[in-house]
Amino acid sequence: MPDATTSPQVYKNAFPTLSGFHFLAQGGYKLVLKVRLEDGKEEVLKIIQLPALGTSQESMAIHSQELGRAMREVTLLKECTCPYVVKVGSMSPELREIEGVQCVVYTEELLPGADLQKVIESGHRPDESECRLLMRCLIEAVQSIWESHGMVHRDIKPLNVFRTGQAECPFVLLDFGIAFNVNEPGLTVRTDQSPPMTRRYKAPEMADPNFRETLDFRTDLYTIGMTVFEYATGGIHPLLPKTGEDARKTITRILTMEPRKLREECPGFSPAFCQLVDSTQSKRRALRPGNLKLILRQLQS
Amino acid sequence: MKLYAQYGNGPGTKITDGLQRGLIDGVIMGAKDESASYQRDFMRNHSQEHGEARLLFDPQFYACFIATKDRARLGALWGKDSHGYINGNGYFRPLRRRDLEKESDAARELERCLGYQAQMPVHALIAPNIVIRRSLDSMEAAIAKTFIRLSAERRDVVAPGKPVLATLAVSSQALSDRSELLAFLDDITLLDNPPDGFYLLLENEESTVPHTLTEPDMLARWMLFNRVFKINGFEVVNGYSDLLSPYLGAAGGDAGAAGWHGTLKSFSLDRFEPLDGRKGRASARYTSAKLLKSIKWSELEAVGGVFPEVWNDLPCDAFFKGLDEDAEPNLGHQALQNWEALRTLNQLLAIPGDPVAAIHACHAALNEAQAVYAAINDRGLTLREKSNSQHLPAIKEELNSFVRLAELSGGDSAE
Repeated sequence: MPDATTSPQVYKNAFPTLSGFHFLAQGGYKLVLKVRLEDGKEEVLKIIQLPALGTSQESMAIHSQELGRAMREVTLLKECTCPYVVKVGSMSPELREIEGVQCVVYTEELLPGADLQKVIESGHRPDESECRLLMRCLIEAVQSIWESHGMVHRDIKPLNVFRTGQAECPFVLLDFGIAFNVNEPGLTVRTDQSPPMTRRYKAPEMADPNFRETLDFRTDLYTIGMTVFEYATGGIHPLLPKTGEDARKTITRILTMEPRKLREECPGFSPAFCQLVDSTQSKRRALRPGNLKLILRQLQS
Repeated sequence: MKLYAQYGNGPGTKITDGLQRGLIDGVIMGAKDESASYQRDFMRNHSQEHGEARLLFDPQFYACFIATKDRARLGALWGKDSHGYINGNGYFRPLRRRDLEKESDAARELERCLGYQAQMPVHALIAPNIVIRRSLDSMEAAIAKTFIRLSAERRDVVAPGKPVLATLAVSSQALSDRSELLAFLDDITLLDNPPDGFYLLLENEESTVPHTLTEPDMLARWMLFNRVFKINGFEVVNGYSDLLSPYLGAAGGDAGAAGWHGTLKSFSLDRFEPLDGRKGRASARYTSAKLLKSIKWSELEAVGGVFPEVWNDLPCDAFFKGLDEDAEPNLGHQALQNWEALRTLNQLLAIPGDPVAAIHACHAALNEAQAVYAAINDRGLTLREKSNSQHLPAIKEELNSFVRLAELSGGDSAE
């Protein structure tokens, strides 16, 4: 699989019409690069590795699924009009072979600014109004993909949110790679890789193996709250320590531990906003504030 | 938390008096208890004379299955000058479960019932529904969910712009399975076109007010409904909640309701069932805010002199003082006194927007009540089963259970 150390020549060979390959990120079976198109415009190239195509039904299913997943992501991004959702690039999903590895590749718009993870690490401490704005942008993004596509993002976290510095779209949600469509059948589990979801940002209901039967946008509401909490507090997770711990401990905390209260970490913030963020962290979905229009009104007031 | 009069048989001047004294915030009319023409006149007059009072109309559609029985007590739900669906008027009619299994059945009944109410000067429509009596994972529950899901959609057809409260009526038995309850809550808080609120009814098997909480976790789960609905932005009106109102308010409920008979203080379909023998006249009762309970008038006479804190020290106490020997307060005065006590408790315990503080306040009030009961016992004064302190540990347990269910911190730390 190509990675951060892969020579640019490898990419040049695989994508003769692109140039200026610059490594941005890698996670799961995905690699993200900044690239320049023939017209000089810069975009983000996403490369998703597929398992070796054997003759087994599973392997063939994964191939077609990954291509389908990418197509679905692109279709969603194309149709979504919400300004807080990343836009598609000029390359539609297609299969390519890179260093003998089958991959799905496509491009997205290149956003200015940085992801929230980097912003947090830079020591930036936002005020309440910026946190409200972040929450509003993310809620609108989730509302848009849920109401028009029945999609749940499932992987909202600081790394997947961009702070652009642009007034018309100050925060943008990206990476719909593991978005789940409640109107489509479940996906084949890839046994060649660990699950693509970030355990640290997993909603409690996702620990239920039958989560597909009942999944809805309130799972995203939970991770939005978590992201806003981390952003507001300069990187404090509502449940977990800063550094990683083993999977079992993490899941136990997610399922049973009472989350930290935003009010205690940000005493200068208004009680109403703290209460709103804290209420998204309920273990039971019904206890999260599911009326998105009402939340948006509260955030604007 | 607001308090409404739960309308029933023999209102006399109770509601007018309650409104004039500022003890109640409105009325939930009961379809069974007055003819169609009387209800229309009553509502018109009250909306003119008490413009600020909230008027609601409980269509009591949930009695539709009982209506198929011989000698069912339907009152004004059926017959001449009734709310019955006769000659294209009204909405109520006897139904069997199979009559409501299709979505189009529910839509039709909703349109008839909401359309009927839209002609009244009500502040919000109460959508019809059936009672879920056995399980939240049942055909009954599926029918009830369809009614809830379609409430706002059908309102948009027959009375656009008018707020609508979906009725959710559940028996205590149906609440017993915790995982079913949580799945049900997940479902009904995920609606494409949600109603403006819920009219919540918890059915007791008997129509008399239980002297303690008969089903474990019943109050906790009723409180959980209140909490969940409030978090999800709904208005929550609890019918027939009487002395449980303050706890429901502590959980987030917007309103509770109580009437003057026992059958108007605890919801039961029993009052529509064929009469099974005559029920005796209830003794006069006084609601003591300090004891969080109503006690018999005769018990108040025995205890009140030694323990003045049992008295609420509020204006309606006067109805219970200086009476002739052998006389007892009339039903109207009892109703006013009960509303006054409930209003006081609601103000004290139902702290808006802060369930943790409200639960602490409830525990503190329960502890105080326990201390007064202990002092009464020390003096060798005995209160009967319906008046003694049995409710206190049960309610404490329910509050703790609610705290766990609602993921609140706090619990009984005030103890």
